[in-house]
Amino acid sequence: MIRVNLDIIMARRHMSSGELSQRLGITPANLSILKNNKGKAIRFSTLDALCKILDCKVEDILEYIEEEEHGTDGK
Amino acid sequence: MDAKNLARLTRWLLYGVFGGIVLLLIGLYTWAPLRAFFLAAYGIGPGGSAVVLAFLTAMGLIALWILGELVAVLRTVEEDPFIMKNARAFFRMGFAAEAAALAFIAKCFSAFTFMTAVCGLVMLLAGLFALVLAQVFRRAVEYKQENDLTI
Repeated sequence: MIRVNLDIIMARRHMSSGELSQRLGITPANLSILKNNKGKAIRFSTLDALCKILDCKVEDILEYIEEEEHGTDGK
Repeated sequence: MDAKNLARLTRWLLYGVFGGIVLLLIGLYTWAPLRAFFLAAYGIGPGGSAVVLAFLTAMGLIALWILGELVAVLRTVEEDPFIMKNARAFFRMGFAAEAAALAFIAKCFSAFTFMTAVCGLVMLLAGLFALVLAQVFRRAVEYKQENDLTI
């Protein structure tokens, strides 16, 4: 799965959700969806703006985590 | 006329049809001239009246079920029609229409009239259409959810 580490970067940059959503031009509700890993996809334009505003790289925001396989052997 | 007003107008028309069917169903059991009119229209003698009455009542109840589902769908048009509830409503409408089609087709074998055959065909096609629409709505809801969660 892909984890969004936006809250970590925001804390490092001392940036509030309100300020970031305003600078990104998205609603606080949508930023919350992104921050809480509830989103299904992220636009390149959003990612581009995030990197620019937070002065970071894509890999600082997105992280791949291997998901644990759920057993299907009925045990 | 915009979508909201069109939906509102259709909804009020459906309320009228709903009320009409309810009155007919009540009248069928309480008003002898109406019952006689229906029995004469079906060309079935007094001996077969219980079967015809049961058939008409069942069709009336199915019609009310379909109309109720349609009104519930039309209520959502004013806000957001692409919800899973509507997909399920279309599935139920399709199921109800197919049940009615089955009854009309069965009636064709016992008491054939031209209108029974037409009603059977119309209900069969309407039911299939509603079932297809249920699938379309399901896909639309999935697309919408994906779009809403794309930031």
